[in-house]
Amino acid sequence: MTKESMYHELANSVLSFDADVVVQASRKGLEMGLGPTEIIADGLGKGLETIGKKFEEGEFFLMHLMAAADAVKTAMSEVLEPEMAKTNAETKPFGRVVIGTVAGDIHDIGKNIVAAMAIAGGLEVHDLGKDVPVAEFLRKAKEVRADIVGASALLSTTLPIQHDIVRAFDSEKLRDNVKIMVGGAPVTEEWVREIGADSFAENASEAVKVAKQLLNTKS
Amino acid sequence: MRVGVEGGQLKILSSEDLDRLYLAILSVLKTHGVKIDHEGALRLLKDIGATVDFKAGIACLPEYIVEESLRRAPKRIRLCGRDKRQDFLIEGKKAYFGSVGGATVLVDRDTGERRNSRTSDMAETARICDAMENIDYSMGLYTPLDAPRKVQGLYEQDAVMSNTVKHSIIFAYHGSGVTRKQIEIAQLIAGGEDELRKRPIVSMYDESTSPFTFGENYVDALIEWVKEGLPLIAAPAPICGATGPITLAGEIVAGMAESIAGNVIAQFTRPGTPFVFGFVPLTMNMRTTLCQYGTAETMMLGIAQAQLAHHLEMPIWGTGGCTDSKTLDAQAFVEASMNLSTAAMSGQNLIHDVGLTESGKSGSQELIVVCDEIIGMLKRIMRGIRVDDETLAVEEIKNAKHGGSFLGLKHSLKFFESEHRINSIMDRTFSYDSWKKTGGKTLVENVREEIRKILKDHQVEPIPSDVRARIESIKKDSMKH
Repeated sequence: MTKESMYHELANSVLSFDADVVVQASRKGLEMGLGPTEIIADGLGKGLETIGKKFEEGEFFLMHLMAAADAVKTAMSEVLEPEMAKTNAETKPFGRVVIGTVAGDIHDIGKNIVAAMAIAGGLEVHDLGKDVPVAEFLRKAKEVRADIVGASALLSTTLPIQHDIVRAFDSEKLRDNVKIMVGGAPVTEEWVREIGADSFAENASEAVKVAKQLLNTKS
Repeated sequence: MRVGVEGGQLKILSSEDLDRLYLAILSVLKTHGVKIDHEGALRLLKDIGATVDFKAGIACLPEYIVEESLRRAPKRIRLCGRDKRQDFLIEGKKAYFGSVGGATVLVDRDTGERRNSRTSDMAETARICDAMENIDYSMGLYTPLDAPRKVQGLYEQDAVMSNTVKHSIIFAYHGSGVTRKQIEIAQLIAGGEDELRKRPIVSMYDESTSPFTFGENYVDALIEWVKEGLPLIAAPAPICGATGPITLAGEIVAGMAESIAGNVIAQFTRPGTPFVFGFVPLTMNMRTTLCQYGTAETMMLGIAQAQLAHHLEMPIWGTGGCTDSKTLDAQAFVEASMNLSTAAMSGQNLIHDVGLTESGKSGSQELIVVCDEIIGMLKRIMRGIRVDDETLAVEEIKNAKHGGSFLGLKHSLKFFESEHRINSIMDRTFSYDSWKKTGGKTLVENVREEIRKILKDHQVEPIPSDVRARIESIKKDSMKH
């Protein structure tokens, strides 16, 4: 088997939407002597790209995207990340994102969709879960040297926590390095301006596009 | 007393389907259980025989507990107004209609500008609901974004209850002690603790987080409220395909099971708590991720849960009069008409969401007024056709002779008003020319004028000034905590 056909098989494995298939293909790639970074960039990543494109074109739907992102996440954690740790290889992601649903709010479906789409879009995603204290956003962003922090809120009573997060990053003077995106049904452009966040998007695929634009202006 | 219209004409499930759904619900509650972030509730459930994993916060509810909780829930609920004539009785397949809360945006009637909602918008909405013939209870449609964050719930309650003599429904606003303060305000307006319990002039809507998660705030509000014996609507809002299964049957199982689990906590906190079951039927758009209110499937979920509720003899929450449309266009009225019709005709008891636009993000007072008309038409349809010797009109048909007229008959005079509903806001001018002559206005333009008139002329009996003063001081004190 040539390298090229292995890349092809890896990309195709993502289109099976089945974690077992992606895990198997990833193992096979390693056995063939491919590095984990190559497997991600030239194999699985291409599969995700195809799915993203078909989603944009309306051929695939949200659950295809979520299932593919989940499958790749499983292969990463079970096969590829342990291998990277062994070889000390470090991937250079397009960007690092820390994401979570703010303190007091346990509505996380929107945040989960954004996280999955960001993974599918090639970003490194650190998902803090729901009901996340402001300090935890700050801690994690510093730890992983995040490029973007995404804070989600659904309730009008928890929306103001997004403002607290912006203030916290302000007071630590981190805003040059970390861009803050906010999201959730009640978020409007007016709100983003009011609290001084960097950006928002009204849906998940838009969020990934906006994140990439922010990353481009950063570097 | 307000009279509910009798629904239940519309059915999509067989009684065998209903049995299977109920068995699946029992199985999910017993084997999967509910995640409850509330030590006290977990202990309560443990004490009555639930299998509780305190570390994971999960309570599995065996059949006998679930069935006992259903037995304890009243099958009839009387909801009262500040004015006794506005009381109504939820029972069987009777349908009642009202608005909702929670929207954060609206189009300003005067400037045409899209802006954030304020407390005054909620007060206005409550007054509009109060004036509408076919709206049975009042809500504020919006969120008081101009109020201090900690006490938004109290501003909402004051705005709504002060501007209606109909029954009010308020949202559970989470956070330390808000529910307690909401109860205090309700007691002040009702004239005391016992008076409020005897004549509950307000209900609370408390929403758990699907799938199967009861946050600490949700449980706190629920327990605090039902301890007073007040009516509770504890409806989850699982989004079919996202926070609920993609299949409609699965969504019904998940939504109903979650709602029933809320009832277990309520009925074992205070037996006999007036509890409205059901879930808000939503589906996810798998292209745009929009959480949809106006699709065929949302309506089917509503019809199905109504049937299941009737099967199990439980009062049921309903959904209609709402739309995914961003503006008051044809889509808005198509969706609102359809979901109101299916909600009413399936016999959903306490139908909410009238006036909600843009999938819950914004709200429209204009839509409430149009829906009032739609509901009027529905009530007429559902009242049905009276068939007896007099109405069969065999003699009159003969008397009018072939090619004759019925216009001048006493029979026509006698039955016109009981047989034909007179509408007010739909355009029925005779011709294009006469429509033009009377201003040539669209439905929405006419409705806007109607709203201006209501807000100018419709009087609501004010809250006595001493009570008013005490409400203000509760609002002020709560800010300090």
